[in-house]
Amino acid sequence: MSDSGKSISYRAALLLDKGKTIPQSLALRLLQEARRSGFRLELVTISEEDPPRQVTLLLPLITANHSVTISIQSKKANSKEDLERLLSNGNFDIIYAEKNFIENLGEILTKTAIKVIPYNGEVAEKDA
Amino acid sequence: MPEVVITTDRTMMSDHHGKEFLGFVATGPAIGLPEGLWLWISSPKPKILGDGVPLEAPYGLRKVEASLIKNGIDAKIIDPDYLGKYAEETKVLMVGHHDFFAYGPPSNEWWLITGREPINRISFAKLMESEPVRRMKKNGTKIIAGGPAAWQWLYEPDKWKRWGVDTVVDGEAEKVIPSLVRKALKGEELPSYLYVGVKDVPLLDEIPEIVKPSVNGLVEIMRGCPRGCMFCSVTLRPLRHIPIEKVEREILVNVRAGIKRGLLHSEDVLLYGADGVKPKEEPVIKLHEMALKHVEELAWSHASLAAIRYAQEKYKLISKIMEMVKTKQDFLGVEVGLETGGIELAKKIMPAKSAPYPVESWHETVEEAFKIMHENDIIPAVTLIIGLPEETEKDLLQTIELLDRLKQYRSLIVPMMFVPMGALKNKEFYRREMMTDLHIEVLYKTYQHSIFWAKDILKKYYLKSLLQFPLRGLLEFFIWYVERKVDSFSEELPILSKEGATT
Repeated sequence: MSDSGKSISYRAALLLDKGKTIPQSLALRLLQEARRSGFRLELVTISEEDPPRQVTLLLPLITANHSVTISIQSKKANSKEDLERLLSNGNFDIIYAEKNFIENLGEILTKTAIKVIPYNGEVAEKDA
Repeated sequence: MPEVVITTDRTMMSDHHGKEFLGFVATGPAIGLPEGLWLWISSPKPKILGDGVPLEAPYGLRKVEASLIKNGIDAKIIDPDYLGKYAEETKVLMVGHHDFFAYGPPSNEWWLITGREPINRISFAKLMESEPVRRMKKNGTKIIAGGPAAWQWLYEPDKWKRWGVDTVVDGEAEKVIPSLVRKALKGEELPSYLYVGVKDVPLLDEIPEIVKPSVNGLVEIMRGCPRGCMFCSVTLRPLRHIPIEKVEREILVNVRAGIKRGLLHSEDVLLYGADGVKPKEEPVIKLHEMALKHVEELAWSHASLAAIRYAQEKYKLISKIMEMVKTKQDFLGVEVGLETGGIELAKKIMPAKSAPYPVESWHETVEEAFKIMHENDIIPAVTLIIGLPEETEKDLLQTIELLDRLKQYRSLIVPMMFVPMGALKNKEFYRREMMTDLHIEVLYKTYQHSIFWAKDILKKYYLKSLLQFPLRGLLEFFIWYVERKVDSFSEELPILSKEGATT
């Protein structure tokens, strides 16, 4: 994260459904895990949305945070193969997946052999 | 050619005629004047040394530049009008701003009141849509945006995408930015967003010193704030006092480049070297002695009303400092936060703002500090926030009462609509439909106060040299125009008529 040397962090993949933000409970859970892992959170978001919009879907996390370094890398998955590759090569501690992903792509998620936790996304409010 | 170009738009890349306060003119739309003239009042083009390198540049950009240079990265700040020269070679373009999209105070209230986009927003959009920036993006240049207004990108994802911004960095960047830029230079994948948390905030010896001059000689003397006001983002940062030797070296960078002005930047200049919230005499005196040894003109960025009262009551410190300052100039400008006259509201959102005095005596502290400043020729630009979460009618009535008590003291009171930042960043923005009659009355009172004192300040203190006469004339015209405009519509608002007003 910084130039001061290698640092530990909590690294998670977030599978975001189009137009749905993460719930507050997930935001708080991510921050809690990050605080236990050196106050650093590395997130890779995967969605059909463009990268900037993927970041805005994490507003509940960003506005709840005051102390954790958060790095968000946003990726678009255009196919099931894309998704499988991203998840398998991502070196994630955990995957959080919107329930629609579980319903549609459960098979891929099982193949990655990483712990997957489902969540219910919330419809994002209109932009400011 | 540098690999990394750092820039911003014209409203930021300017010396504001040597008057930092004039920079705030860019936070509004052009009123009564053509846009070009309005922009010239707030943000004239700075002196350019050659190849688009400005003599002075915003301090935040200078810190980023210093951090990159210190880490062996070839970076330069370039004026926005000269980006074309660098469009083919630049690998990383970094853009910074105090208010990218005019969502910050006070831009958002001028926008809300006038219904028109502020100049700073228009100017920044022009920069990002300019031919050189578009050409850079086409050539594969990575774009990194950051600064105090980084959070505003979260509300503009379409522009974020359209302008091809690769990464938005939110927070103190000095420690994280070299590795991010190295990644960009190597063509590695970048994060879309990076928030700098406590573990990555630079320690005192990790804050690089500027290597080239800053706008109006601004130098940082402290970072962070101990008061913990919930609406402020600065208070979330750890408090650090910059050693006086370091401050002096930065002042000398400016002075050697011919910038003889100095602007001491802190959330509370009087807390320099203090334990907690009680100012100490010695470090503040030493700081001013050192600064005045080098500069011909001095200003403060911010001071708190409680510290002003305490410093004067305990040490007569304000009088002592002003005695030193007045050997060089007639007055000293500073921004102070009043924020609310509502005692209950103050207890909830800024319980330490009045410390070491109890929050219950906030009105006395405010009035006493105003009186001290008035008597010592310190001219404050005072911020006042309306629409804070949990604000009640009683809070607004107390604010109105306090404004009445402050009438006799020279100051400019600038009302601001609540913007969710700091510990309140998950709250709602203040919107036009939330405006009540009492809000209108607060706005009108601050307007009356500020117009009265603006005329006095222009007459006795501001822009007195012959060269500044055209600028002064334009400001006088602006005041005249605003008075006419406000008079015409205030007659239509019952709350502002003699019968409707509370006074």
